[in-house]
Amino acid sequence: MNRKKRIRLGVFKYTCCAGCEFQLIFFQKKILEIFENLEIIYFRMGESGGGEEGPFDLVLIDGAITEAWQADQLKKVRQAAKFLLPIGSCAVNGGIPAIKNSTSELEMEKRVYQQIQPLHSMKAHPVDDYVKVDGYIKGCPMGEKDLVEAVTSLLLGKRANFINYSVCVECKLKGNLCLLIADKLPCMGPVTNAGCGALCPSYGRACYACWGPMEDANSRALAWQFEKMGLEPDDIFRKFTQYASNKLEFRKGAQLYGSTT
Amino acid sequence: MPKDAFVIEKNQFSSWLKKLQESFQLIGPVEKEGHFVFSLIEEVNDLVMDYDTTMLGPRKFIFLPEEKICTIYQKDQGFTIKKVQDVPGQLLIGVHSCDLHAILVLDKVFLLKSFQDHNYRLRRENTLIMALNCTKVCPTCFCSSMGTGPFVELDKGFDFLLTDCGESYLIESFSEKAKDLLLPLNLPQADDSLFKKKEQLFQELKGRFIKNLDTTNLVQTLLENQDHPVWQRTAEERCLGCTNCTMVCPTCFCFNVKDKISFDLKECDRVRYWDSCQELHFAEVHGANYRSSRKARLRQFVTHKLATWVEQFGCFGCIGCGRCMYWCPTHIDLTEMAKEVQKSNFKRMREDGYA
Repeated sequence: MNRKKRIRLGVFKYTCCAGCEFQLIFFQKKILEIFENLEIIYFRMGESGGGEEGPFDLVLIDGAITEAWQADQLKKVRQAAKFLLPIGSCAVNGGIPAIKNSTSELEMEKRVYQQIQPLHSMKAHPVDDYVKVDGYIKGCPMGEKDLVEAVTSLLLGKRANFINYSVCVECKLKGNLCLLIADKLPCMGPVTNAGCGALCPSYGRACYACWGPMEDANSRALAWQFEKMGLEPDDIFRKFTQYASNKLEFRKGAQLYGSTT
Repeated sequence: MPKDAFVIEKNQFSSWLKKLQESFQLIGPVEKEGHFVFSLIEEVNDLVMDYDTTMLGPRKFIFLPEEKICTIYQKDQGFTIKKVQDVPGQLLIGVHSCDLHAILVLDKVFLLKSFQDHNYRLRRENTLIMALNCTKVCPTCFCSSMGTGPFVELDKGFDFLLTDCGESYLIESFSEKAKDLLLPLNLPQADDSLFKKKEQLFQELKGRFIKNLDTTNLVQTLLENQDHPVWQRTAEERCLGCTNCTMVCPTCFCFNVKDKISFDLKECDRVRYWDSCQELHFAEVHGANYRSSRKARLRQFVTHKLATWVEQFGCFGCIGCGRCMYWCPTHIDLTEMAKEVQKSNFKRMREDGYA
């Protein structure tokens, strides 16, 4: 197998806390082998300089799109990239920046900034609202397992097999008692994408959906269940808009208890 | 095989287990956060023999949640495969009748004449099962309807059977291995009065079931009603697609296989883990997903357990433990769904000109 060729990597950051990029640097310490296979072309946090133009084998996009220039650059990057993957909840689902989507833009700006004249912000959108993506590396910050899967798949030339089941699966594989049933906690696990290894439920805390929705999750049914359990409508609304208010799966749950536009 | 029945004092039972601990891994029910779980026993005194039910059955010690199938090494020419070889001998203690039936169902799946699953066979052969007749009825269990409990009425496929008789256990052995383990104890033979007591306990318990399911014509009724509104309604309003039902089901046997490849691409661990038909990608094949709607997936769960399993393996896939409905976040009850279909059999009604 020809392993001489290294993967040309680009990492672009938009609106986010940059935690996923830190995570990437952290992985470099932990699993050096992964970086032996990568040639960094553009990665501002890891290396200064670098060409935005590419061409890239693999581009990782960190952060949600909240300004016009970001969308513009993203489209150019897409042209120059063989594979483009959003990393982390902001890029995949809109994430934390998308909390503002359910309030009017002006009200939000006034609440945060004193001077709102220089702002050119728009509603937060995930990367796949603008360009075609080749998969998702979910997580907040992004998960190690999916990143490893993405890189090894690229090296082998096979289709990546990303984790796409609910957090409940990981809880059961670990043998955790179900918090929703045993402790009557409002756990978002049943509708949330797995990959974290059921981190919070393993420590007795209810899942709060930081990885965003699992595909085809039935949020409405879970929202109704929360209502039956005695949660206030506002709380239910916040549960479904905290990390992925852009995603249809969660919007269906949130819409029952508030306006998501 | 002629069965042997003895009486063993509960104190003596504990000290016997302590002795067995030297040669077996003991696995049994212990308390954890107000519920019971099957777990590896460090201290014999931790065992809770009058437990009601557990979230995960003892299946997880024979068909592991996640296990390595083999390791594949790349060589200069071709590759070599190393299979899993060694598993520890284990003794499952306090297995209720439903869970015992579940293990026997899994045997039918994994130990076919034509193909035997290597890992499963290895663990099954190194497992002794000590079954325990139930002393309680849970609000969600309906094993008496499925013919799998509450008392064990089988005579093979397991090793010991315990019946709680207050101060002592009635212990019966059903295999050569079990006989050999009991022999050095020199236990007194159980007499007829004890068996009478056992029968009495059985009859008492049978009368206490709250949940029931009429299985007459159930297979045909379910198969005739694939388009019954109950599937769509439940899938829409209650089913989360979270896979909890199938994860806790003691007869679910589906697994997914994943390769964990080292970065130098020289070594690969092939791992399998529990998969679920309730998961969207489960039925994905090249070019299509033949169960892309939640309705189809939910219907698959119920009709497989209560109908198509019979044709496939010659028994019901449901052993009536009630775990799926208890651990479902929205408490979807498969017996209620089956009953609704039985009550309003749309196919029959159409034929009779009513619907």
